[in-house]
Amino acid sequence: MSLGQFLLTIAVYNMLAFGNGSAVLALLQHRLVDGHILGIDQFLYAYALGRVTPGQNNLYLASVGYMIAGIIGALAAIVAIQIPGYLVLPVLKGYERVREQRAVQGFIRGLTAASVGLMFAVAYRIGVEALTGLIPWVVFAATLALIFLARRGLLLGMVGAAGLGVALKFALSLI
Amino acid sequence: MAESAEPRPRLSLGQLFWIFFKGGCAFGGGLGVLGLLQEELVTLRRILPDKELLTLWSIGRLMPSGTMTAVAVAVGYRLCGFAGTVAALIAMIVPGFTCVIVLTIAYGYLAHGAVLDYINATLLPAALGIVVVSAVRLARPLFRISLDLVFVAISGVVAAIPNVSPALVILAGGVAGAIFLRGPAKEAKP
Repeated sequence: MSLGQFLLTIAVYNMLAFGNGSAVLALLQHRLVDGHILGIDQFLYAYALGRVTPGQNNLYLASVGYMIAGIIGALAAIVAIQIPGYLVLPVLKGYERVREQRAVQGFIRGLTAASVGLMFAVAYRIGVEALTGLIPWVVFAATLALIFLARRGLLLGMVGAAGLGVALKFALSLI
Repeated sequence: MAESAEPRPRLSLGQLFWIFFKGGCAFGGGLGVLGLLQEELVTLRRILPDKELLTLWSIGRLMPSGTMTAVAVAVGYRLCGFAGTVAALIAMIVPGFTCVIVLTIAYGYLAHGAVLDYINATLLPAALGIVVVSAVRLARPLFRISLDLVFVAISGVVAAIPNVSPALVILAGGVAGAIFLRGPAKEAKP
């Protein structure tokens, strides 16, 4: 697969899936793995990197781009998935013109409420995947305690709790 | 842009870059990044109201890109013009991109090792904590008996079903809101 074909593939899949990361993942797996361009272990490794590294999950596409065309492929993949984000500017401009209309206000209220519901659904899904044993539960509880009770910032809370988890896992591996 | 009638303090490009760079250092995907941005822009610097950030995030979910990409473009443009969109995007991407590339290069060493196990057992649950905190903080204005809260509950249950498109859930919420929630929301009592 050439770099151009790869970029066209992720651009089209991104538009088709309308920001639904899972749908893009399924489409890409079909195209790249079933098309014998990447091995399933390479593809899953790239996807796992997106989950365990900081930032947006779709950065896994940089890993896929790197596997296909080196650093140029990685950079091109990142640029390709960022550009459609600029569509938000004309959308917000249009929103400004009609935002005083009652139906539009209701639309935004419904949109916002559904987004909040979606956030909790995402948290639930991540929880099902991440909270699979004692240490993950301890780390999760420690994160909340550091942020809410000790009033540390989010980053400090996360790093502190993750550090505790590493120490616990290491200690348990010695027993 | 949402809520643009209110005057806002402007940021320098450097400050904007730093805020989004910190956001890009958050684990937990887009919601982790959103949590950090909420802390910086809403809680600490009071540059954006939480309602506006939530509105931008909601509209961003409907864009054919990563949601936080759209949020970065919208907030960057709002605070520093077009240059702000580029600065916000680059700042938000650099931390994760660097990690992803380094770990991809190390594929041969790490793919079957214990490092990913450690990350799964420690960083992911911590990132989940950030996601929960972020969701609770942004949802606070909606935590009162109202039709909005019913929307939150219904969309949350529907979105938890596997293979349901998040963009469709949000769009359906918007359409239903235009029918059943006409007019502005009542402000919650402090």
